[in-house]
Amino acid sequence: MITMLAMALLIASLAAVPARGGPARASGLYTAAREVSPWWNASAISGEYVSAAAFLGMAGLVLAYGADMLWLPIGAAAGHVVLLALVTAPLRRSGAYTVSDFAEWRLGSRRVRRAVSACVLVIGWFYLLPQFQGAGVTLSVISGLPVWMGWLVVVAAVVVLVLPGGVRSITGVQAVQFWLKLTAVTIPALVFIAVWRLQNDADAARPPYFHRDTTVTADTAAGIHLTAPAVVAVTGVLDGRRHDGERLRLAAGRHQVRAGTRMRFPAGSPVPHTSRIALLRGDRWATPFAGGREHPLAATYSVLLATILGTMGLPQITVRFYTNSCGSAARRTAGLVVLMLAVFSLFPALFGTLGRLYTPELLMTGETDATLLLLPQRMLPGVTGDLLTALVATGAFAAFTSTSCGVVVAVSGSIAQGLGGGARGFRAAVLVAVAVPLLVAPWACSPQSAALVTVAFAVAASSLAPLLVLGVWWRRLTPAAATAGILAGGVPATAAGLARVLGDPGPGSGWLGTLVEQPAIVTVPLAFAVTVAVSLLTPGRIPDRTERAMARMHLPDGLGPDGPR
Amino acid sequence: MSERVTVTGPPSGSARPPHSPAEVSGGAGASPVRSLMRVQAAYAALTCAIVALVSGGLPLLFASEPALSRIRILGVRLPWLVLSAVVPVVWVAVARRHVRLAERAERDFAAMARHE
Amino acid sequence: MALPSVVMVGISAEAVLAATAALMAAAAGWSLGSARRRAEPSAPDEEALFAVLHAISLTSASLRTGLTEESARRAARHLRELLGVPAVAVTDTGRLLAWDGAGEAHAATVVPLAAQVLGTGRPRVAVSELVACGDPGCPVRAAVIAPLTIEGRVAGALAAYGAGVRDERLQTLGEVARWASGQLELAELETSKTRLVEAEMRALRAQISPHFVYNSLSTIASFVRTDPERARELLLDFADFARYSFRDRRDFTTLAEELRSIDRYLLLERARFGDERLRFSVEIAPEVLPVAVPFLSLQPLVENAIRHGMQCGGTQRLHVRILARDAGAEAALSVEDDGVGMDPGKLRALLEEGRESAPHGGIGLVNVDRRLRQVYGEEYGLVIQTAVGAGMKVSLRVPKSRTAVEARY
Repeated sequence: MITMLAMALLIASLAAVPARGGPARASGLYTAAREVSPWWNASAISGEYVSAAAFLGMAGLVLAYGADMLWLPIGAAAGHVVLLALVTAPLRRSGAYTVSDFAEWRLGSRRVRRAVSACVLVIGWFYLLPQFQGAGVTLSVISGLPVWMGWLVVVAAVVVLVLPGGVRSITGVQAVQFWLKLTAVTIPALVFIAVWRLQNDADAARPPYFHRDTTVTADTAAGIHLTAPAVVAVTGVLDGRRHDGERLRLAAGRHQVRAGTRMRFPAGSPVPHTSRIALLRGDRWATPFAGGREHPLAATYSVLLATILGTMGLPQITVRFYTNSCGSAARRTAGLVVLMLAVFSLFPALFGTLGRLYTPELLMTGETDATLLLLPQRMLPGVTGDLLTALVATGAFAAFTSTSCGVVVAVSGSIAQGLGGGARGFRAAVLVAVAVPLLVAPWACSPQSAALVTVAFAVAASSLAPLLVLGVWWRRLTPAAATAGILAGGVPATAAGLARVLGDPGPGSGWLGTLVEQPAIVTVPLAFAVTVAVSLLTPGRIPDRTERAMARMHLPDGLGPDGPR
Repeated sequence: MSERVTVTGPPSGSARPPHSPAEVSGGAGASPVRSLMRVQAAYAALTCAIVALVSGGLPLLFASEPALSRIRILGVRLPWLVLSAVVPVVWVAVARRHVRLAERAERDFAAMARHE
Repeated sequence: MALPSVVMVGISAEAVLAATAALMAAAAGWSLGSARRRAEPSAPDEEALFAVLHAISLTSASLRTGLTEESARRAARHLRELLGVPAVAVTDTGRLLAWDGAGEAHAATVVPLAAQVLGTGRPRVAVSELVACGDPGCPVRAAVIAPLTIEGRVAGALAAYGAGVRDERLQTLGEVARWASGQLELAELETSKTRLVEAEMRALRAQISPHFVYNSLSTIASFVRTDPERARELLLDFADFARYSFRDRRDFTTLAEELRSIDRYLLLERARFGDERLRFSVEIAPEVLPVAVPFLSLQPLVENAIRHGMQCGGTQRLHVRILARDAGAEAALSVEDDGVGMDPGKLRALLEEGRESAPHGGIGLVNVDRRLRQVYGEEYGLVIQTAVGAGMKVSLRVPKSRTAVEARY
């Protein structure tokens, strides 16, 4: 029922915004030809950015890892500040639609364009994968359907919406969805705060325990850790032995659960952890850098670097600024995006904390992406909870669809030229963009979508950020240097990302493990260094157009050389 | 009513543009561009420096002073309050300031260009 | 009138291209011979051939940008390689543009030496007493100077220096100069083509005006007494439209501006035909509004739809539909009407003829088609769907990125 309601709301949200125009008086054209305002475009960009992964996943990450995950939303908003300061207005004034167009124009090189397009494709894949995964988790939580159904639903939606030639008026859809998402989190947040205050029985810093009798079903075979002995009713296979609903006393320590096993925990018993998530008790959960990770400070800096510089390299974000009428409108838009994201960054902490109190079994199943979806029913059993779940699920599905559409359109716009160009190239590009993540999804091991999103950020920061920053501000950048920088940063970051996505036991330990998980701290400086060094070594290959390109990018709108804005 | 038939023109032989849009009009003088760029670069550097300082300094601060994490304000631990409520406000302020400065620099440049 | 000359230039372009190809072949054959003579016996011919062709293509690329110091400097280097002489100089009609090779001391005497060639247009040989300098080791002892001509007019001179007049390499200079002249002529053609397009642009603007100006003004006049407020508004619309159409500052505009100008145009046409006879619907994706489009690339299509659709009937209604959709990296635009349509064969002939001479219909279409192809490439021409009595739909695509167009050239 809830699913149907959510779907209905989603479809309503997509259909609610028609393309502007329709039968009109002659002057209707005048209204239709009014460009998108910064406020409206900023809503669309924020809607794009507050993706499914951010919407659901960050709360889950906070639930699992605590204070150390609060840096993610910080980095995400800071990324837009840096984007605003370094890239937006000049990029808009260049007239480029995608980063690939920018690279080819700025450096006059087809080879650089190809390298950039390859990067855009890889980033798009890494970004789509967690969207699909999040969709799978959402669907399975609200309807009990298998996870892969969620992937197929999103892919089908994307293909249906994008293939016929772009979503009608996608900016409007996304702007509306941003406000939908904001509503979808604000209303539950207010309700939850009220309920929490009323119940007032919990401190999130305590080790998580079940507040009431709870049944947990393992979707996949998993290892779990018990912190204290517990009496559990088990139906299925536990530690290699079949049980049929009898109560067992489980000792503290590691146990193996087979897929499909149901376990019923009485109220008050401690929550077992899946072995995929490190065990964090009490204070260590609530205190930064106490989480028992190796090299937590380096990992944090690496995440911050990736998110702050990676934002500018996300294809679906940069193409949105093209919708603005001129450079300064684009800059104002970026400023408003920072404001909108700042509002959003309050929620992961809140929902993560509440999740630890009310949905601790997610620590056992590892499906922390479901935090926000389960909270309403846990905190407010009954119709209110169902309605709130429907609201959240709608917001989530809106996020999956719009983000996936945005990424696919941007990636396809970037690579279509390499696939023959025109409408046919665009369609081929759409299929290439969705096929790979769909094929990889069953093999990807980490169920935490927000963590996977950081992989896309790391690749973007290590490959496209040097090109954009130096391309906009540094006259001595040469085509060879841009290609070298993209390879030097992008290849290791991609390799680390693949290792993280596909490596089943997760990355190893020590510095290598930390770097595989968060490579940006090494790959970003490397990419910048290589770009600068090769530029200085190839001074003869500075493109002739550099001076003119600089003038176009940096002169105020209307004063620059040539053309309409 | 008959079915429509699709018609396209014949290839024109030369696909070179009359001239690329980039060559339509002359560029502005290089030196004012450079000076405007320097001003904008300085603003951008300042904005990025603030971002770097905040996002580089806070982790170091919380790592070196675990005692900070035990302070509670309104029942919320200090790092949680700072990271989810204070820093976003800082970002908004920095962004607003940057937009204002950059626009003012451009207005000044435009005014100067008109006077010359 | 500018239009007939299109065909003339078309013919002469083909002629020049053919002539150039022949000259290139001749030059290559000659150079191959000379290269073989110079080459070591063991060196394979293919390498020498490749070197010569490479030098030819580089020279050709430099010269195709016209005769300037920059192009001359680059071309001189390749020409010297091609000829295998110690030094080469290029002048225009009054000054030295480039000197490449040894004996730079002679650079100052090139222009006086070339004066006679520039005057007569015939090659000459300069012997040692004219060329000599103080340096006994100087490899420059004799010069051959040949004119560079563009369409029969002397535009400059090419000088090759060597050890003596008997040097066979110097004797081939005449051929090379003729070939270089061919390249320069092509460059000139490019420029004149540009001028031609500009002229067409002006013609297009002029073409819109007479009918339209007359009709609009008489419509406005008819309102002056009955509805002075509306007349005033229409007059303002007319002024705005005219200002947009006659501006010539830029060749590109944004789709938003083009649409706004169409809006004014439609207001005026509607005032003339009445709201009932002329109906519009528009559907515009806001994402494509900032797309840069060639100036007046959509308005002529709308005008064509109205003129063609309204004039053949009498009292029938016309519905015009303007669509702008977001299609990935491109914007897809179309103008559709439900008017009388057109015979596809006639339209095809019109497009093939490349002229705007039809008494009704096709006005502006050919021009827009040609300009789109020139700016974006052959695959971006107009696609027209029509049949007699079935209305007409004109579709075009425009790449969103301005930079993609610029970077290609």
